[in-house]
Amino acid sequence: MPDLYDGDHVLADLALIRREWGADDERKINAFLDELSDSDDAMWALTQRKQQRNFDRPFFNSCAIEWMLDQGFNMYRIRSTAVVPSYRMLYAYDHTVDEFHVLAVVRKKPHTAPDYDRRIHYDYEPDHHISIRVLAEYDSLRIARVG
Amino acid sequence: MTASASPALASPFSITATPATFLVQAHPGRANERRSARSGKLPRATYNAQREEADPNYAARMAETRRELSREMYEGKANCVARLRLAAGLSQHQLSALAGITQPHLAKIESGKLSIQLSTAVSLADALGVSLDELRPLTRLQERTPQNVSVGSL
Repeated sequence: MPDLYDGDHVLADLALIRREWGADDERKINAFLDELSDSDDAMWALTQRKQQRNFDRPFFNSCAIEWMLDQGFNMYRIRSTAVVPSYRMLYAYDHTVDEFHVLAVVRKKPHTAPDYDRRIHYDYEPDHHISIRVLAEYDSLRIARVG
Repeated sequence: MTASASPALASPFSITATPATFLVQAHPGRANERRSARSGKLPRATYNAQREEADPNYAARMAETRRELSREMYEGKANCVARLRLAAGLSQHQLSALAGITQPHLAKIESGKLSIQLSTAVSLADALGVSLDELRPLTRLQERTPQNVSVGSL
């Protein structure tokens, strides 16, 4: 079974979540990711490159981040549908060494807010500091690109 | 490639690079732990298990969080090993240690991928603090197959 590793900025992301939205959210994200990483079936589901996948126990939905994938970055996002639905976990899969790397944990932009604080929310914008950071770490870890 | 363990847990270890993994050399109980070929880090579940071992306050908070997860993830669902484990506030690493089995073995039990001996079922029930009767689907199957228990429906 592939393993799940935290990137260098995940602790800082979780610290931001703790400051802005409380320690409960931070701990739930941690516990959810632990449950996910301990599940053979869930980890296997993360390797599939279908458009969008739902999975139960732990309940989550994952899909590729299309614009990143188009540029060769094997990047996906996880949404926990039952536990912390407001957050997204951005991860990379390195098929050459069979490893997953969580590179960011972010709070999704609220659907109802046309104006939002990009410092603490994210909507997959290519020029968002989270996108820039994630792709820089992807390359610094030498995670394999996909064709 | 530079191996960089998470700062809070880096000091007990010395790292030797191998082509695909890093092995922990200095901690006899944790030899052969896998590390990322890319970052040299421990898998997140292993890292967090060690963090909980080292910080009882953090462990207590995580146990309470798992109890919440058991309600949020399994509301309306039948009892299963994973639900009982979370309700007990335990991670797979913690329950497997208490029950005397490996974490990958427990993962396969939870996902219904293998049959288990009655003795393992008893160990799990003891570790979870529940009776075998609370693992009712398992005990029903045990009545049909005295040696092995299929946990596919758990």
